Amino acid sequence: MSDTNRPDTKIAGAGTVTGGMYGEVVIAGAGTVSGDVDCLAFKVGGVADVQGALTAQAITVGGSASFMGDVKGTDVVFSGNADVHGALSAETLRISGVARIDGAVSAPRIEIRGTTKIGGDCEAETFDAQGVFSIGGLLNAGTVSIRLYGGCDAHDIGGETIDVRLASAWAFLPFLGDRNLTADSIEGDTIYLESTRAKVVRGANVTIGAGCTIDLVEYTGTLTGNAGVVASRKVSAGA
Amino acid sequence: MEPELISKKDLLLTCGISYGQLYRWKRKGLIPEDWFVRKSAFTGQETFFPREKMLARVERILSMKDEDASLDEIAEAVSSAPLPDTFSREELVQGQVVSSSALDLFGERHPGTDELRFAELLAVAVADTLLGSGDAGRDEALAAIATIEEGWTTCEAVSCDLVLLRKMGVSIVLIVSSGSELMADTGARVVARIGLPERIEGLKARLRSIERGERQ
Repeated sequence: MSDTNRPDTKIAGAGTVTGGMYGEVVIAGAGTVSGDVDCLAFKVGGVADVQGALTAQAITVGGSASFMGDVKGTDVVFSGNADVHGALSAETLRISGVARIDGAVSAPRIEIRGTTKIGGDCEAETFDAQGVFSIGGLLNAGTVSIRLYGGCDAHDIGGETIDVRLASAWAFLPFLGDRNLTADSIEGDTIYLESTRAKVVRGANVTIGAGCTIDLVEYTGTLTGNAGVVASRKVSAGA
Repeated sequence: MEPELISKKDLLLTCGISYGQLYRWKRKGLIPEDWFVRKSAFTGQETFFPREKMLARVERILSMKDEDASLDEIAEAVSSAPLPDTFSREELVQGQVVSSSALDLFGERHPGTDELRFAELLAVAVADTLLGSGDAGRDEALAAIATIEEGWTTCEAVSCDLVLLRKMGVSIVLIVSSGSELMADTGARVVARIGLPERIEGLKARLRSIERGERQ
């Protein structure tokens, strides 16, 4: 990957890298990046403290990394522990470890397998979560697919297809605690919900499955609900 | 005056669009973030939009969709970001984008400039409107041009209106954020208030249709 304008750099012990343009940045020990970095690949196996913004094609955090600024990448994989104080944008974002992003997150494809906390809004074409997440703002995605393994929450959820189900089979273990989704409002075209607590659900075709508490459902097409778990109020908004 | 609002539910019913479509348009940047107005209602928070602007925008998006434009193309056409190019005086007059008398006024301010940047074009177009409606005189139109040129970075970032105030023959040109209230002392009169985002959109649509015409 070496290039005269983009030298590779590697911290194996403890060290500091200044900001700038790089080819590959590898932090295997404990490293500090003291400014903004633009590189092709950014890999953290150890502990990294990035004090500026990061722009890279491939970003992999297997160890632990903290980013003071915004993070922008093509393929972003957080399998370790990542802390982003700014916003995060990517083409594909995969979180299998623990990630906290203070700002907004935007990526056409988001896959959550670990634990994720997002302070701002979260935008995706496909949002696929099989883990635990908390989103402080709006989760806006074309397809929202959530398999509940623990407590999940978002301030609001909007999209075309929203599908929330309890994770099945072997995941029924007692130590998992409450497994549910909480949101103020959920709005979409096709909505299927299980174990969801929401103030209002609005959509065209809405199915309310087991374990839901919904204060108000508004629908323009069909409403299907298991007996005993339907919403306290139903309004057909169809003209 | 506070612009009239329309609730999200009424918008969807009126325009025959779905929640999914609206959220998709929001993601693609087809609807500016500051048009989403959150107000508390009996169900908690509800989202409203500035009625006129939103209805016009939805209509525009739907009509472009009918012409098979992709969402990215629509986003580019409706976004408030400026076009990167410059425009020659000749093509502007030929395309009837602005009048030559308004361009002459600009020429007075910038002698020898034949290529206009988008911000300058916007300034000229607004001056043109002011002159055309008879609301403003030459000097006031010149002041409007100067104000937009200088305030462009602000106009680009937030929705703004250009306001022309007059009191006892003395006029002042202001740029204020859209929808904000304006209080002036009793002798002063708001002669004109022009919404810049609408003008930016209108201009871009016009410029694009000229471009398309040239290619065909």
